[in-house]
Amino acid sequence: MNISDHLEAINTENSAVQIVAFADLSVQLVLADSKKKEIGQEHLDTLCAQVTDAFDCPLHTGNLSLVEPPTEVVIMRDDGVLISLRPTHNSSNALYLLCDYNVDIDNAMAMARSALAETGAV
Amino acid sequence: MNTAQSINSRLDALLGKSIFNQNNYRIISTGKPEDNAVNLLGEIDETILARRLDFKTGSGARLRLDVVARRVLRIASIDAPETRVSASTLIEKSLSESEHLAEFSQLVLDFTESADEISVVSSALDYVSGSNLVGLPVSRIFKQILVEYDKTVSAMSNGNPAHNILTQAKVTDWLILQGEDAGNSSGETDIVTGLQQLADNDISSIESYLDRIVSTPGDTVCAVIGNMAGNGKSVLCLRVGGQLAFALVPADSLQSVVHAWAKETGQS
Repeated sequence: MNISDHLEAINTENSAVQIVAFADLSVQLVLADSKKKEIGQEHLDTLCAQVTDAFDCPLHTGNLSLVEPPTEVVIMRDDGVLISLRPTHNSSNALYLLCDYNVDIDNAMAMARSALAETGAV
Repeated sequence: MNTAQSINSRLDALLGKSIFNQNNYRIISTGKPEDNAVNLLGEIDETILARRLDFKTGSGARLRLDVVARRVLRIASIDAPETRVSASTLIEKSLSESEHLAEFSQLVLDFTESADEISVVSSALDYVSGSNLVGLPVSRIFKQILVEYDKTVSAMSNGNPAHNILTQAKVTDWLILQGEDAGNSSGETDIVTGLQQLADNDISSIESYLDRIVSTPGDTVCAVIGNMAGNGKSVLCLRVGGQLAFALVPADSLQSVVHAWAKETGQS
């Protein structure tokens, strides 16, 4: 399966997932996506920029951090749950999902991790 | 301008403002939950002759209502498998204010609350005889929905949302930094001290961080940042109702955080 197949599978299996996309955060570019309805590129790009910012968290800088640098960020906000994952904390490749609040988050994230691993994204 | 021209002009103006989606349903709402509910009720309010209103959300959920004279006579069908709406006991019942107002109003809220788009198409209704039909007046539904919103707002404003979320979620180590109950904490002393040190480091950069990951700066938000696989742990940072709080979240507690947040902020 290529990355597009994985995105499609995540979208199909999870009814609460509205958008799933694969992006290069270093240039904030969405490389592939799967959506339940027509969504403009501008919206995808905005989400990509917010995902990039989400990994740049001040809580994980310096010696005070309680946990490792983030590979996963889940943001609960007005438009739903924005889930972001990357293979390692310094990787520029990332998957993000915008979901409704009734999402089975453990299942959605497990599928996303699997997609990143199986496609060899680093 | 004669009467016919006036009417045509008005119809043209109305037509010009209508937007249809790819299913040829007229889009009536793309906004927040309260806008969705109001706009759905607005369609009922504008329906005088007997019509079946077929409402559809962006995710495909459908609610079909039989309406006449600004009253909902009955629910013809519901197709919303991912919501509580599908379990409604009201389907195909003749609705009345005395028996069904509260339940129907809640159904409207449930149907509209997570919809990012609502569209509608109407069709003729042929079974209405008019003599024995009561229905729910839209004005009463609207008033009931306002009551429900007041309850939610009251819970948010009078309560302590951060505390409620942190105690409802499976989170043991937390600290409220700002707002109501600031300084309140729970969990291991070392971890709570660590959370306090995170805040002492640079609270303004954390506020700025939260502003960058929402649509509008200052928005209510909860972020869980770290690693949620296996035995991973993450830091939770939430901003709600003037409160700012941190917590340490075990990987297997994430779903409970989402549920608690959705419940307290009216997302579910």
